[in-house]
Amino acid sequence: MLIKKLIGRIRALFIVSLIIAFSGCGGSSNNKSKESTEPPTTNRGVCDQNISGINWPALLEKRCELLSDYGLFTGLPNNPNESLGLYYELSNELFIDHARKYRYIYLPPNTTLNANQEGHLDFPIGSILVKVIALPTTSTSSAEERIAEVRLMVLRDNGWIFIPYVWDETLKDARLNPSGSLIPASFFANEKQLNFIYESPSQNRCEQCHQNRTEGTLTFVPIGPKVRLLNRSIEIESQTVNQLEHWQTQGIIDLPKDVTDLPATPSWRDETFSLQQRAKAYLDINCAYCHTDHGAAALSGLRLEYSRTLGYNHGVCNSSHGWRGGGYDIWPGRGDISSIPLRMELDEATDRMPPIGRIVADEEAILLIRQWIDSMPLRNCSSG
Amino acid sequence: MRIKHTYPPLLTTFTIALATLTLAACGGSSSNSKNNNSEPITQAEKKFDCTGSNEAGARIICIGSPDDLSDSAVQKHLLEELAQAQTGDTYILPQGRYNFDRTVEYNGMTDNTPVSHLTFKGAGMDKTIIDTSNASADGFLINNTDNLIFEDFGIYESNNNALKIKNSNGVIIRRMATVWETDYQSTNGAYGMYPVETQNVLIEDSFVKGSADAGIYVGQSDNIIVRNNIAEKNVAGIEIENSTRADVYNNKAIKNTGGILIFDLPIGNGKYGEGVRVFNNHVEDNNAPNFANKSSFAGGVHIVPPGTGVIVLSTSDVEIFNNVIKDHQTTSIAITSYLLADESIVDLPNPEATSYGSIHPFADIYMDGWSPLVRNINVHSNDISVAEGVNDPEGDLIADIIQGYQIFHIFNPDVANGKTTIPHILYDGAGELLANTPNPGGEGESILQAIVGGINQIAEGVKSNNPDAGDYTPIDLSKFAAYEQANALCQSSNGIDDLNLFAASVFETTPQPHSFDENGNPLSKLELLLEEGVNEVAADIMADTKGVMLCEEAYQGSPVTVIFDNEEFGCTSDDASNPLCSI
Repeated sequence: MLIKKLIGRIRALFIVSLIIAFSGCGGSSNNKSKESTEPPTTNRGVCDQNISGINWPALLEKRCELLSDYGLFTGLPNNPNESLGLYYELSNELFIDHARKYRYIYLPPNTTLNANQEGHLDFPIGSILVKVIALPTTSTSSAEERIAEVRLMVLRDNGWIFIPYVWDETLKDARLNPSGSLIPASFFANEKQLNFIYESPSQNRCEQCHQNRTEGTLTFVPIGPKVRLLNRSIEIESQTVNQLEHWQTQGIIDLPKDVTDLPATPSWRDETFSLQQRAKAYLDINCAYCHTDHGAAALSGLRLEYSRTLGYNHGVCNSSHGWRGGGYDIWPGRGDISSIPLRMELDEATDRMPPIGRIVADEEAILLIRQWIDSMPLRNCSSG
Repeated sequence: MRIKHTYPPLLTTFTIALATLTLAACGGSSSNSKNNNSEPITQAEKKFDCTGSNEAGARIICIGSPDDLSDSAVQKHLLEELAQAQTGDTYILPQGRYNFDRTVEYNGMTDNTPVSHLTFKGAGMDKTIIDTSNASADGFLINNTDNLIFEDFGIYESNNNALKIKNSNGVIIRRMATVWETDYQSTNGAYGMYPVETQNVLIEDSFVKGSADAGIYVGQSDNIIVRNNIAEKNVAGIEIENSTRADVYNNKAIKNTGGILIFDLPIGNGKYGEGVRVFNNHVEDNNAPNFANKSSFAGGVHIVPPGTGVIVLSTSDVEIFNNVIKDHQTTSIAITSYLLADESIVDLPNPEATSYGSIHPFADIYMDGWSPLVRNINVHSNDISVAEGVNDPEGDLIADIIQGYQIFHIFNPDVANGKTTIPHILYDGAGELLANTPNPGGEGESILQAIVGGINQIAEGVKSNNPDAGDYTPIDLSKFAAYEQANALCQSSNGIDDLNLFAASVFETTPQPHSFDENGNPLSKLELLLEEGVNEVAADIMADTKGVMLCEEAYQGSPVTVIFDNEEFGCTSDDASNPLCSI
């Protein structure tokens, strides 16, 4: 009896001290902060349900500790054949330090994508966008790679949320990592050895590029899956087909009109297009998510959407305000000193564009942008 | 008024000596910028001293824990808490110096629920130091979040901006430090305290040092108070850019390249500035080399001439008064239209244009509402002084002006004897001259109005000929009208003795028959005297004898009130009894 009482008291004390500890760190249950190497805890509620296939309830409710908790893949996520989602390709993709990306859309059962007349894509609630990011291990020209991270966007009732995972090679699974992490990378690119620290974004950092402020209302939105970037040909069983048309025949998407009447951005690598179309296509996917009226870089005044007329707002003789390097964003005829290619090339944090997700430079693209600017009739922006 | 579709023969090439503005590298050659480091900051021990609270709407979150204050633990804890931030959260940062390798960021919503009222608080600006030298981007970056408070900590060695806040209504930065410890190093980061696209901003009792750009920079914002701060050894000490309604008072700006800058730049984001009061500041010895330059063709803050106290660039409605402005080797106060930075603002429009942007280099930006002129500037009651021997003007932006005055000094030793090389209240006057010059053969409009009126006319043609052109906003011609006494540039009671110190404009502001050369290029007073032999301007070169800057009535700004929740800040509210506020 006495012993029981004592235990009871100790327990009570224990609970009290736990509460103190809790409030002491603002209710965070885990402020140990060391990189976890232990296997995940058991009893993780909806994340732990033994569902075969995709764990939709978990996706709509929780950020699960492991990627595998959602059941999105049957094997490694960089193998499209092992995904339960729809693998898709974009006409142009954001350059992130030569990383390779594997993209998938998961639509909830009995739903479809919708595209409107203007080419805006509507996703049903519950849609999942997954981007698997792998880094080359030997060279950009070799298929050898390792998975670095897996980023999820989930469309819940009130909007898109972000769930970032970092790959854990020992677990052969990806682990939730809201604070992001630094990953050493080493490989050859364009015959140069690159050694750098690859940075996976924190959960909050995801929102920096994905933010949109239309008429003062903040939303977080996808960047890649737009009609103009999905409207391209792909290979299906050795047949070349239009990706959107193929989806329509599969009942995945409702298109308002024929794909030839929908917007399409050319691939910047496709040399059948003009230098200007290719350069603008590159700037569109790599810069215009921020450099647009409602984007994070609206304050700069520089607008780089594919549809934007090439003028002052697109950088022509527009002095690079806010950058102490100065100069002009596009100095016609002077690719060597125009700020856009210069900032794509320079590596310091004060100079680098894009400011995040680019530790190394995209040399091939810099060359293209310079050639394009060089091809413009020479104009002396600084007429003084 | 109807603007004829004719362009003045006056404006053909417009290559004046005033502005060879290739904006090449400034700096590096300053003679009297010393490299004294400040007192070393006390290295406070790491210490956890915090009691948290889970009260809804007022959570207090202690970052770190008693048993783990490792750098990585503190960083990870802060980032994880911010990933689930709630309205009303206060994050208490522990005492000590912490090395972060990630940017601390938040973007306004937690899982799509809007969040406001976040407070970040340390143990003191010299006791809690977040060293972000290993982070690849900004130190702190908070976007889209209203009612933010940053108090009592330091952000050191950021590779980019130290503390950036974007799109927020309600920002208090109080007793904060943003520091780069190595003086005058071009690899130091950009802005120290950097609210942009914000409203109701209060920056007070803070310390900024070492920025290779502006220490305190408030941009594209409204309702701003910057008071009681120290800005030293930055390229620009304090900069208010493209912002409206700012009171900058009781600050110290010392040993920067330029002390206090009021700029309105053609950014193209629809946001332009006016209404700034700069008063009761101590602006001294801002003679540092311009160490911002990264490349040989630079422009930007890089245009700041070393040795400048206060610069007003194309911003209207500015009152500068009761400041101590001391010992600047170039000039104490420079006030200039954008003509000094870029002459192409007065290029002739291209009638063949097929898009708005190709009508004129600045067509888009004029349509966006920007004006290159300075109007309603009142500089009064400042204590301007320059110690003997402090006279070594430099800066590529004004290289021609300096050279012109130097030549004048050589040829007119009797007039120039004992005086500093260039005026210590220096006004370009060129923008005003072109606004005051009637368009020859016109109907009373000014030359500038003829140019922008021409842009409007061509734009109308573009619109009707090009179905893809979309709409345009006609340029408001009244912004380019002749100056009236009511919106002039005035200076009075500034300790200008016309002996050592003098105030003068580079161009005459009232057009005379001799004001332009045969090609229609406006001539500065120096050119008029030295090249054209117009002797009657000689006296004006070293003094404002024609009264360009003397006004009977002068612009008077009004006090700014910053509203943060139910609190009000400013000279008519919390500082009402401060003698520095009662003007």
